[in-house]
Amino acid sequence: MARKNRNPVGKNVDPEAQKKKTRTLTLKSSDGQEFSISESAAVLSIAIENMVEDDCAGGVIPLPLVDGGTLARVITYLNKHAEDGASDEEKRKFDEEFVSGMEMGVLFDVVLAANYLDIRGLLREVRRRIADRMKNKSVEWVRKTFHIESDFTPEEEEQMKKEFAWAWEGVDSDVDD
Amino acid sequence: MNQEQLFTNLPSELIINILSRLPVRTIISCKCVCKSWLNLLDTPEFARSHLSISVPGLILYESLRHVEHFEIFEFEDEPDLERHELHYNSITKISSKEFINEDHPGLGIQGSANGLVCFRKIGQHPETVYICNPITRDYIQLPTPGTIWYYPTIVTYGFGASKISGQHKVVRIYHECRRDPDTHNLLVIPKSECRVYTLGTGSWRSIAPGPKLEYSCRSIGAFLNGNLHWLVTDLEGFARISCLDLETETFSTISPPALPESRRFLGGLTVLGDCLCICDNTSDDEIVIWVMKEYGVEKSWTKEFVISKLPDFAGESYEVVYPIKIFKDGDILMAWADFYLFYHSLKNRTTAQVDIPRLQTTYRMEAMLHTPTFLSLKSFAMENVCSF
Repeated sequence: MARKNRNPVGKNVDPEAQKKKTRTLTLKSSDGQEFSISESAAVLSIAIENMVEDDCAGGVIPLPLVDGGTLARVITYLNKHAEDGASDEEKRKFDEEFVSGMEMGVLFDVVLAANYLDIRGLLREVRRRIADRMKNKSVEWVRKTFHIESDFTPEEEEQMKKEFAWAWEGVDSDVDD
Repeated sequence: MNQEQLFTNLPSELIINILSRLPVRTIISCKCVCKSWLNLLDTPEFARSHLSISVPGLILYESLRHVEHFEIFEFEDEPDLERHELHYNSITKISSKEFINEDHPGLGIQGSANGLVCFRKIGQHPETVYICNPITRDYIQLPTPGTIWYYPTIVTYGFGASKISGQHKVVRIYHECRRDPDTHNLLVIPKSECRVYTLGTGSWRSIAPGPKLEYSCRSIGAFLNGNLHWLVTDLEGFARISCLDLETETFSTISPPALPESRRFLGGLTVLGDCLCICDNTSDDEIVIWVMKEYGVEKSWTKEFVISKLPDFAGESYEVVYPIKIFKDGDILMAWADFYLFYHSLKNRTTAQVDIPRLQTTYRMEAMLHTPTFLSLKSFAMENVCSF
């Protein structure tokens, strides 16, 4: 794909890039909701770009692994990142706010969607955010938050506590922040 | 998403990627969450992913009155950090006693690469050399590398990993020296040898020792770009950098910057922010930090920082100073020989002791960057790995 031309005043404007800005695509979520998005924003997803290039889009692109709520969020992200004149600093701020209020479940929906749609920047951001929330948390907090049941026997658990005793001191209390 | 299945829905490479970003101790906690996480976190894929993301922290070796120990720290590095609180970010502290069952083994750090640390018993001839992973808590004791030797013979070590094949190698350089009995100046090097121990092979082998140069018995190889580097003096008395390519196992020589001529040049060679760095502490009132901006390009040596010494430190100095890390807030962490660890703020031109109060009672300390890894030494063939 030709690199997007960032020239602000129309000199040497790539005609293909211009077309992408005006052309719109329709994305269809797993629950049947349809969203319009400019092609230039949509192709920030490598997976969508490939579908457009292979011309298997045929007007509407079905995304059977992404639900409507998640797709709406992803589209907000794509639109911001395709916006003309948005500085890197603005985008960074946007990313910060975009993920900061998300509940854990939503973060996981978005990380799966970003992985499936191959949106590198979003994937990086959300992965980092999930990790940030897990930092210095106890085993119990992790199990509770992610609904994971321990399948260790009490003896195994005791054994691991002994083996890793050095790593257990000073973890955060289980207050969710 | 179904609240019951947050991580369960993710492909394993995505789980690995997320968990790789956690602090070391949280990763250990995660091993205890359930069996599938324990298995995932024990895979070589996880160790590789973690090492590629893992950022260098610090290994600090301390010799105190009754005990020796080493401690691994993670750094906090933000542009707007109020203060560095290293002591809150300790990952693990290991006493030598746990490790090799001696109160005062007198260890010295000989290098750190990919999360593995090379230790050697200082002052013991022939040397005992260990490779240790403080995170997986295992170590290897290498076979004895040579025979008994005495000063004025010089033995110097280095530890690193080759650039292409990624082999971990311990290098031992041995120079038999003859000195003028009055001036101690080096007269001749009748015999030199270099031996290499590749981790996983179980034995030392000899390689061509390179040009005859005067190594310092206290310096260790600075590891950068798959090469080891030592600040040396040639037989005419000029400072040089001896460079060993760990892939081809050939020596070459790099010129240092134009240093002021002095009979007692106090230079320390180290790696600072991915560049080769020479820290010159010869002057009575300032420390000069030279950086080789473009690796291997001698013209790119730049006088990067000049730091005025505090009155307490000014005057004739006898020790080498090593910068360790430049932080985003403009502070440099530095070691004054094996005595002190301090921060110098480039912004405010102030100097402060590191916030580990017990360091003031430490007899001897060594500090260098260390990138924690979950790569177990058990993954190397032919090695007798001990756990502690």
